[in-house]
Amino acid sequence: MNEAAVVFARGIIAFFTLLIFTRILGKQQVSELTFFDYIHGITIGSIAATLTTDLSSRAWPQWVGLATWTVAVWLLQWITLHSRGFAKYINGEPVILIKNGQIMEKNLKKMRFTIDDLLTQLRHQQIFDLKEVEFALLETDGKLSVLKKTQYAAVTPDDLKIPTKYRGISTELIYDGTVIDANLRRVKLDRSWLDHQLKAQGINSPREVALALLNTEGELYVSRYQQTRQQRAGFQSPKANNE
Amino acid sequence: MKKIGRFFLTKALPCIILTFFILFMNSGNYLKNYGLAEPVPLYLQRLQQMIARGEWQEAAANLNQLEVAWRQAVRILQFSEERDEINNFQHSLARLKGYVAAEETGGALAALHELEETWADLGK
Repeated sequence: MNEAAVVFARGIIAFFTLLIFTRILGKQQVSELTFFDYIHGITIGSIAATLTTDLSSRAWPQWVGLATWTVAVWLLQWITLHSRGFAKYINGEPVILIKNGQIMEKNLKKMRFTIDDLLTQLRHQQIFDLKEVEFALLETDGKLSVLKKTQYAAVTPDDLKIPTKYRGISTELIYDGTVIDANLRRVKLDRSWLDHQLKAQGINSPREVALALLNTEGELYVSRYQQTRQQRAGFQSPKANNE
Repeated sequence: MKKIGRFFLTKALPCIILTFFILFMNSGNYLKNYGLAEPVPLYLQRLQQMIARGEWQEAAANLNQLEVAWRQAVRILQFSEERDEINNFQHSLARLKGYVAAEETGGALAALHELEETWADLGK
């Protein structure tokens, strides 16, 4: 029995199975995971690891375990999407920790949260003085959401009745020295316009550019390579050699 | 065309990969006699008759053929079976070789039955 070959084959099975299963379960930010999400993530990972290296058991039962957990989680996700009551039961509800500027000690105890934890979380949100806080809620993912008292809230252009321009997402025109023609066509521009813009900034070729972005106001942001491609590949300029 | 490509990448390809993995992990039961001159149970049956009749030289020759067949079968079986089951078969085979060399009927038959049982369990 060639154990290394078996572990390699099982590793390939576990890797691609996990890849497919995690795609089925969808995208979720690690920071948005609830405690239960965290636990089942660890369990699924642990089963995949056992499937790879535990040769004292057949691969198939381990794989069935992996599939069972994935199906159970997927089912739970489906039910929580379709039933708000069930979602609350599974994920819990946000808990108010500060109400009208007052710390809710009972809720703190219920969530096993100390005042120090609360102050730390507030400091993470740049709040160093409790009197600025009107409401603070502990979300189901363990993060604190804070509503500041109106007198401490940041002023927005809307408060000052200042007109603002539309701002959307910038478009990548050059990435790693390569012009993205599809994006150029999408913003109804062409290479000659791009070359002209680059020349205006003293750039002779797109290959000198690490990243070029066009914002919705029509301004081109260009980030040049600090070194040329040749230098990055290990060739030193004669000038650098002399130095 | 783009839609078909996307469907293939997001739906069909994962299904094909998972189906292949499932078949691969369960291939042991179906492929354990694949590529062998004779199925392993036939070697075991013949050995049992030879040992019962006391034909020890023939049994030793047959045992060598069984060992060659086992080495070939284990190349496929190792990917779907437990390491311990494979080792059990190997150990029983070694024990049987000893009993046949010593021409000991009782021990040889016991080891032979062990081999039959282990072989039947492989792939289940």
